[in-house]
Amino acid sequence: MIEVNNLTKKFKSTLAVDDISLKINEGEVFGCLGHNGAGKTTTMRLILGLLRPTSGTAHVWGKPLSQNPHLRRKVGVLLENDGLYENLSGEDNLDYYARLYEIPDRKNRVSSLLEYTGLDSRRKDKVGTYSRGMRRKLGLARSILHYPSVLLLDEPSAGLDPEVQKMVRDLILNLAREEKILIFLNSHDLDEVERICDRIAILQRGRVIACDSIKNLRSASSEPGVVIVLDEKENPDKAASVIESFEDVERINQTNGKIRVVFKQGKSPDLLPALVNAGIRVSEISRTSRSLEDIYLEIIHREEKQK
Amino acid sequence: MTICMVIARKEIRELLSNRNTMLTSLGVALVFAVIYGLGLTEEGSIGGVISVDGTLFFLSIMLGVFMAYSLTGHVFYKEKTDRIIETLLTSPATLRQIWLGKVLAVSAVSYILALIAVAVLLIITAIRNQGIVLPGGPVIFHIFLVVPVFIAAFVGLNGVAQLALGMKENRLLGFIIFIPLFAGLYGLGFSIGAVTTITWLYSALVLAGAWLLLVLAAFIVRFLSTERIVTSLG
Repeated sequence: MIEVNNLTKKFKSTLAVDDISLKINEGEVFGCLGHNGAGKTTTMRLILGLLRPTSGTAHVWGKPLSQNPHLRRKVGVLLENDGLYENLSGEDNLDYYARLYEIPDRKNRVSSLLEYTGLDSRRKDKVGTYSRGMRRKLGLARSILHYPSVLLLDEPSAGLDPEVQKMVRDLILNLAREEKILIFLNSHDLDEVERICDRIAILQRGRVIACDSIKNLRSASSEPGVVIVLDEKENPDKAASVIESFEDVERINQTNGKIRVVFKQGKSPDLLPALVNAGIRVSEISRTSRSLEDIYLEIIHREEKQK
Repeated sequence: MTICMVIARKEIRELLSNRNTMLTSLGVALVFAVIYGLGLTEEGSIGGVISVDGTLFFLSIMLGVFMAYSLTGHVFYKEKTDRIIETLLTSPATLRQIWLGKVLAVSAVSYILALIAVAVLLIITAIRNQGIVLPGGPVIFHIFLVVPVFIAAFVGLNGVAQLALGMKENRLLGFIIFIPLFAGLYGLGFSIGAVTTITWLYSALVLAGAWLLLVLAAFIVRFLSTERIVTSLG
């Protein structure tokens, strides 16, 4: 559905996007991660046809959006700006876009989206009087007003309170799972990406430095190991000396009564019986699971070192 | 309703809902109508009746241009500073449709304000003459056919410039183009307006010039790109 091949964008001497290739399929939620200036927004603008590639292609359904206004009818967009007019009411804003997209059952669609986003009671108020969260919700309603098959979202929940963030997240998940909409999401929020994306690309200095499912990225970069939580009365040093006696243990790390043990690659020593035999009471033992943040930072730092 | 008309309708609604802008524009139109109306002299009178032809000829264009300049900023420039144009460019509307819709909206509102000023001037003249003074044929032709095209041409060119130029350049444009143009029209209207006889030739020449500018504006839109607009956002 979205196919980006060897996409490059140069602004004078600045290389904003450097030879990116991506393929995103129907019903997939694809996240684009990266620091500020990594090239996320430029990539999105290139896909939307707002910018011309210096080289390479960015196609949606096999065609560039810039030259195909009829294809843009099937694409929903929420950029950093919500695309709303402050002097018009929430209802009039949606009505305007509904007319632009020539939605047949315009009034019902606008009403149902206002209800869905909880803005029904403020429908006649000017958008200028809305809070940031309300505008973002209305912006999201605007972006899905015309039943798009592809939705591109740039930082959809940036600056929103947790309640609205959850609402935005649930809406995105619902659109992807129920409506089979392809969602391309730019975000800084690693927690959000981890919760909703099937696949992610990590961008750095305009290049894709990693692109895979979160599960694959996690297994590729994770170090095998366990986290052991000791009983409150236990001496962590005693437990540490027992664990260190295992040859297959690479290293250990103690913090607040927790011992994080990293095994040598491919090894998985049975620590629990040894600890119990040594008379150490263990409250909990679990396999280490690295967060997306850990993976992201590791990939970014690894790339920095290689430079 | 075509996409152009959808855009035009929205822009008109937004302009009318902006009370401050509309009241200021209406106030300016009325002030100029009164100044010009009271400034009419007996010099250009025919049989003791003050001739309004020259004054109406200049006033209608000058006020139309002034209103168009002020409202174009609200419709084109503001959409760039608010960055809403970026979202609009991802919609099914083409750049030409967006431009045309906005031109139609600003031209319509500016023209109506200019017509209000013309009506006020005629009322003042009627009071001073103790009877209605109707303008001549070329001036009626000018007011109803030439002025709207002239306004549309001005809005068209100004709109293209505002879409294409960066924020600083746009502010400079106001000083470089608009102030001399407005001052020129004002000066001409006030100094020779009342004593100039407006002929069919004058009206036809201005109409031809207005059409030429409008065609030029429509032609320049071809060279406007979404990239240019997006990279010049504030």
